[in-house]
Amino acid sequence: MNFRTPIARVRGLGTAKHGTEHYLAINISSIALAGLGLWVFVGFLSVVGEGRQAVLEWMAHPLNAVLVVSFLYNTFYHMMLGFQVIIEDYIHTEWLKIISLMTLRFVCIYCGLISVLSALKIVFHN
Amino acid sequence: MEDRQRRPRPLSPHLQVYKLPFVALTSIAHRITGAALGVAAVVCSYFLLLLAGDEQDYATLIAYLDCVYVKALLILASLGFMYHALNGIRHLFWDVGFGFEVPTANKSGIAVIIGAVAITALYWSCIFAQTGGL
Repeated sequence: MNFRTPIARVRGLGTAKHGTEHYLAINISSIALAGLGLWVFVGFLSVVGEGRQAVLEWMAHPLNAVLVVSFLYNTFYHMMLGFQVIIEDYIHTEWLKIISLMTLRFVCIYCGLISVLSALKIVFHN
Repeated sequence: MEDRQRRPRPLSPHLQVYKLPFVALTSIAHRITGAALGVAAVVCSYFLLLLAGDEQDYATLIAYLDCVYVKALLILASLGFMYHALNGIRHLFWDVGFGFEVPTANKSGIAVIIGAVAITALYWSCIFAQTGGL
């Protein structure tokens, strides 16, 4: 969503660059996470203490599967955005900032992939 | 002259001398819980990996979850999660313009802390009811 007028673009006028997008993404992912988190944690409560089979069966339900996977994706996305703000706020040495941001991105993407693929493996375990 | 140019400029004391308002404390707590939850998320991705594995991996997972220190950390993580979630909702209200007045912000901050402790206690008492305690 780029709301800049053509003249503003040409003049290279005051832009928050990716700031607005970042801010909206954090807010929207928070709203999603509030609802998804509620579902996932209440769902967890319903299977805690009942053993492995109960967990696998809970995850196998399509609705639970979809919500868990989207919860995981949202979590790591929200986490990445949040940590990005922290890094940009406190690290001012340019090379260190770039390496930190890159490491953050890798960690979030790979932990996100590990979680989502593990969840899918549980969903399709039979 | 050159020596003076290379030495970093002094900064007047800020955090050491200024008493932060309550809202500032809730704000930095939101950031700290967020960062801690990030670490917790990475650990949980490992737990999920174990859950998706075979019987031996599941046994390893249960061994981790049975350990008292891990349970203590999980309780702390839940507390952090509830605080961050409730304070996040408080932030969302601020984003649409409600609750900016200082007395309201202070009251909502206290409500967030009380709510976080209460919900965490309720949640874990449900878990202990089903699994038979620490």
